[in-house]
Amino acid sequence: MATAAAHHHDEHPAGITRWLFTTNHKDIGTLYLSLALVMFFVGGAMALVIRAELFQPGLQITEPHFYNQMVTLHALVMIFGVVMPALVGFANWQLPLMLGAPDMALPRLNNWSFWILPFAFTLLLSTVFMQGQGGAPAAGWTLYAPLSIQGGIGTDFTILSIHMMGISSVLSAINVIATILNMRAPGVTLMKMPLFAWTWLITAFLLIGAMPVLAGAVTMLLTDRHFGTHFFDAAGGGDPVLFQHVFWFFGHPEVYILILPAFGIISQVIPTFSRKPLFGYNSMVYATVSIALLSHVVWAHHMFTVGMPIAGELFFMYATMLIAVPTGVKIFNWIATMWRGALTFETPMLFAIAFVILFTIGGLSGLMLAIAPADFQYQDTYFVVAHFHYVIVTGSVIAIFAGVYFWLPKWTGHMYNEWLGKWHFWLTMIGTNLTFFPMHFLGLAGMQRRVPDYALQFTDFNQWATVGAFIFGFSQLLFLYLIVQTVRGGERATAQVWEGADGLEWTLPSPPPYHSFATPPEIK
Amino acid sequence: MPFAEIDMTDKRAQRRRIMITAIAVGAIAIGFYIAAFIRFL
Repeated sequence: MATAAAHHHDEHPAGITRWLFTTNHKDIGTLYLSLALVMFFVGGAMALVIRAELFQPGLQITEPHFYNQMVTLHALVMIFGVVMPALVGFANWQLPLMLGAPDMALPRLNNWSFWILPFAFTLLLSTVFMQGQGGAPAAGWTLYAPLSIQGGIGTDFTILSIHMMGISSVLSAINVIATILNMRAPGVTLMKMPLFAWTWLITAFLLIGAMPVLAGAVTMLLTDRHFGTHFFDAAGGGDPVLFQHVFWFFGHPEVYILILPAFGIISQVIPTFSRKPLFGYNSMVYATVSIALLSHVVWAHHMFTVGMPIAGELFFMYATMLIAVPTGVKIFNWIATMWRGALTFETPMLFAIAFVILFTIGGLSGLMLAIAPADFQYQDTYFVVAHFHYVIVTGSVIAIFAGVYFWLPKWTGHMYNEWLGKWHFWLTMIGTNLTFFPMHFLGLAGMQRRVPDYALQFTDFNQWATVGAFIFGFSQLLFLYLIVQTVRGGERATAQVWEGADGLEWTLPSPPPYHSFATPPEIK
Repeated sequence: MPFAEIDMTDKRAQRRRIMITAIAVGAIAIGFYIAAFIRFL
């Protein structure tokens, strides 16, 4: 391809207009991933404020109200500003390449989906500078009514920002579904698609089912705050518990929105470095569909202590436990893929193996939380914080790391520095586990979440967690350096990049031409 | 058809299918938004 034709394919506008007006899936993927990287450091800085405050009992560096703002913003930024945009970035880069399509089905919509986000996050983050008017939202990322109804102007900014993020996500989901259902190259039937495409197809449907419900919840919050309605105000005949139901009807599928594409990435990485096809492809697809369906009928396990009929508690308890079955199928299949494979341990594979082990820990603590009577004990403690950080950080985030190391040579045309990658891996492992594992013990011992102070007996574990958080946080500077270094140059990557790589994207040169698969590839 | 191979040569038909998919999925999304208020309708 290194011919005049390839040169022609690489023509694109230069400067800022290239990025503002681009409809190219690779450019938009890069924009999403860059936004996620920036927000990763913003949300990470907030996490370090939280951990610095918790280094000792008593109040050190923040007022309680500011601490609550940091807790709320950290979650909103990490969920909506880091994990979701990063996964959409992967979808943009990889789906057309994997399916043999020239681009996403709706390229202009794609541009709009992305450019909504910087404005949404400017709105959200600007609230930090409005301390005179109540500051940033401080009711937790769940925005539980009636507390959020009483919040300052920051809550209104957040409501608008969430609406914008929701529109962006729904538009992305429409684009992903339209692309996968209509743009596959001849021969790429649904059951021949890479698993990453399957996980994204299912995630897109989850987004369609979940994000509008969140938008509905925050719209009602807005009208309760300003237009005299009483959806969630008990004094006016409303019901605060209803907010929790509507919120978690979005919130639980959201968890799978954050993890299913991560499953997809891992399902690409493990076979490559095991030099074997993925074990049980069909069962992986069906397991993903099962997880997605079940995710819509388990929401009330987040609110067992709210006072539900016993039949409701039992239903949500058993339905939640049922999710362990398809998830277990996936874990089994990844291990079976590695079984007797010709394994090598490059950085993406290290992150993928760590994912399998650590995500399983997060899944198992989830099973503990699913047991309704036990949950009455764990509710609102650091055990819950430990659980979801094992799922989201040592699940989604390290799968994103695995994906970046896996595809960065394809995207940039340069190999990354393997030595630095391994340093990043080990520092991340030490940092995350030191941060989040002691939180299990803190929670079981009764330490409450979302409080800047704690009883003296929790000090030791909190100090470990804070040291771990700073190791984890600062080791990400290594990741940033490594990405910049790889983008700027380095050893040339081959088209296939990895010996065991298999799929359409690896048939293109590295980096792929600006316009790829203008003619659909032939699939045998 | 989604589960079968797609005829990539007929661009007009492909564009039509993309628009139908996008409108149908968008309608589902709007449906879920309205459903959030269902108790009050």
